[in-house]
Amino acid sequence: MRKQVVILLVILLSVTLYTFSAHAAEPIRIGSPLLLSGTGAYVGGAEKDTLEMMAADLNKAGGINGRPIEFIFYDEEGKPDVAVSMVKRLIQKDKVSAIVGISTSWTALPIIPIVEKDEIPTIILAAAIKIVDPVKKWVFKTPADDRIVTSKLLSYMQSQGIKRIALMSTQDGFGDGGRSEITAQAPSFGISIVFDDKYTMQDTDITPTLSKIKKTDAQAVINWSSQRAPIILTMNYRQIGLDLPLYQSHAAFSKDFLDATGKNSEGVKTAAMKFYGAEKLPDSDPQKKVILGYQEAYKKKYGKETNQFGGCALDGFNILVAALKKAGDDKNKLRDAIEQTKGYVGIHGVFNYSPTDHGGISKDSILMYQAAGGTWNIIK
Amino acid sequence: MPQDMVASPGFISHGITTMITDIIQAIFAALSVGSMYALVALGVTLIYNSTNIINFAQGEFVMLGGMTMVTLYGQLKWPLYLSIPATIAITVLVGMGLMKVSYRPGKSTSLITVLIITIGASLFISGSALHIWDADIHRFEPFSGEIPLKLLGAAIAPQSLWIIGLTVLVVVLLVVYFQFTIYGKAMKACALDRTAASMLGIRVKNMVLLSFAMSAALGCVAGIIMTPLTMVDYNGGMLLAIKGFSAAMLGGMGSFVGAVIGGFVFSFLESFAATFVTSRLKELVTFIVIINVLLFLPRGIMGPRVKEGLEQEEVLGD
Repeated sequence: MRKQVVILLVILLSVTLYTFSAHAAEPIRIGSPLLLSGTGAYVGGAEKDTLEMMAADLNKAGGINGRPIEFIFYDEEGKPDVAVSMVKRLIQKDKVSAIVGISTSWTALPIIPIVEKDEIPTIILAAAIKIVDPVKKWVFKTPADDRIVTSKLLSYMQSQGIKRIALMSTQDGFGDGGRSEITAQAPSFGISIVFDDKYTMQDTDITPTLSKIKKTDAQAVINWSSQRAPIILTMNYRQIGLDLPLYQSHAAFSKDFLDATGKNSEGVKTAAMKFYGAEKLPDSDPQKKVILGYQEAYKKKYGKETNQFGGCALDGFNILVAALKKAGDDKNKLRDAIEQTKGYVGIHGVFNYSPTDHGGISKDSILMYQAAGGTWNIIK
Repeated sequence: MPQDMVASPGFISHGITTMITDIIQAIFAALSVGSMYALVALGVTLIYNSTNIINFAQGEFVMLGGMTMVTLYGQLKWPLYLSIPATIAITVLVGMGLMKVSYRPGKSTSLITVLIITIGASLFISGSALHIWDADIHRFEPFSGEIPLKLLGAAIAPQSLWIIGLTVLVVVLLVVYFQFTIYGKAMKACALDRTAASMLGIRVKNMVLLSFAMSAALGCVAGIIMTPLTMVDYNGGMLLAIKGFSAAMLGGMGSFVGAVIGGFVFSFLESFAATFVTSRLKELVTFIVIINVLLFLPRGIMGPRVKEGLEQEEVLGD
């Protein structure tokens, strides 16, 4: 008899709890496929940490109009097919209201048709200009793209009196993206490309290709590659004693690059976001406080440094949350609210989205840097 | 000879000098990259010879060697004479562990199963490395500084000389081992006929264990000497194993000399294609040559000229 009472009580309790929880504010689910394994795992790692940190803070402070936000993370592995199936799963199974994620350009492009078809507001954390050019109704992005960075780089080179350049790039999405932007923009800055060759991310010795640059009349070299490729290129560049100024893409703009290349990095120039040199920015720069605040919060929570990719996630998070607070999670209203984002001061620039611009930031968010004594210094 | 070329001897000699510089630069690059391929190919061959297993985890030994060295030598600042033996010891232990899971004499495991086991082991080792270390790209200072040595305008990193020198040393040691020591001969006997070898009192299992240990040590040494030039991350092992395997195939599976030749043919093709064609087509040129070599010499450059399997039966049928 007592046993039956207990069982009855348990049943009653669970039914009440169930109905109660159903009535409690339902979380807003956000999908986040990120690159969490492989050589690029540090990219998605920082993004995931950042999103988790921000979501925890937001939920502690009451969420979005009383509703908590819930992130669903998947590993897109840097593989287009995996990214596609993860995005499909987020939409069909997890029924997410929006997506903030996708760490690489080559996984971003194949998922665009899917979110466009299913009409899911999506903020992509990868850089390629093709993500937002031409403008896609449902797709936005936060990182600075090749077009902004290369135009800053080329205008700087023009100011240095450089007219002929040699171009090295890797045979992958990042290298090709930069290469095609440089090729397209160079003439408008009065710069001609006198040497243009590619290599791969797997190459461990590029001296044979680099030594061909010695025979050209190039005045400077631009290298467009990511991960370990810029490191190897820089070492080989110094090894064969190529004494032309070396310009790297923003992918080289990291502490890791400086640590790995040591003295070889001395003098290397790059155009990049304000992220790593933030403490050197003038106080009048509105981004300074935002960047330093984020870096500090991340370090306090995780005991390690964040990176620029985590910054992209922070921008994506803040833009989405502001739009959710304004418009709720109705997908049409949410999309419109994201598109109306104006003057958001973020990690990678001051964002102004519009129906014709889903990239949001301008050339002004990019600075020129030069490596000296193991740090990146802002140069004019 | 056209008049204008005769008229400007300076131009010609300049052209020839830069040509020579290019060739030497290509050779330098090929020698250091080729040594890497050769060391991995030798490791693959060692295990193949004693067990018929194609070890796709060979590249992981290289990665482990590099990563452990980064910690011991680069971060904890142990001296070279301590950090190198310690790194080799750790990798050898992993190699012996791999033997325990992949080699099952007497049990009817097919070659494909064992192949999958080594691929699984490779993923397991790199996954573990991700957790032990991290996903970053690592490197430590080269042993003899970074000031490049110059020869006729071409430059080579001092570390490349270490790589080439140690590869030569390893090849010499292997030759001595297999030709002149009783263990080497016993291992060769196991490779030729395992049953006969065991009948003669050779402990086949110990020999197999030894070959895994040696192979791990080889990979580890490659990792230690390469890392200052090529960097290391937890994920690089599989690609190296594939290059090493291709080099071993090209040279003739099972032949040590072949493995070394295969490694260098590979690197010379890549390097010269990059110099004289364009590095864009490097892989294309390389694999066109390799496919053709394997079409006309199916057992590789130094492979045994005997017929096996169906071909052999045809011979018997005659």
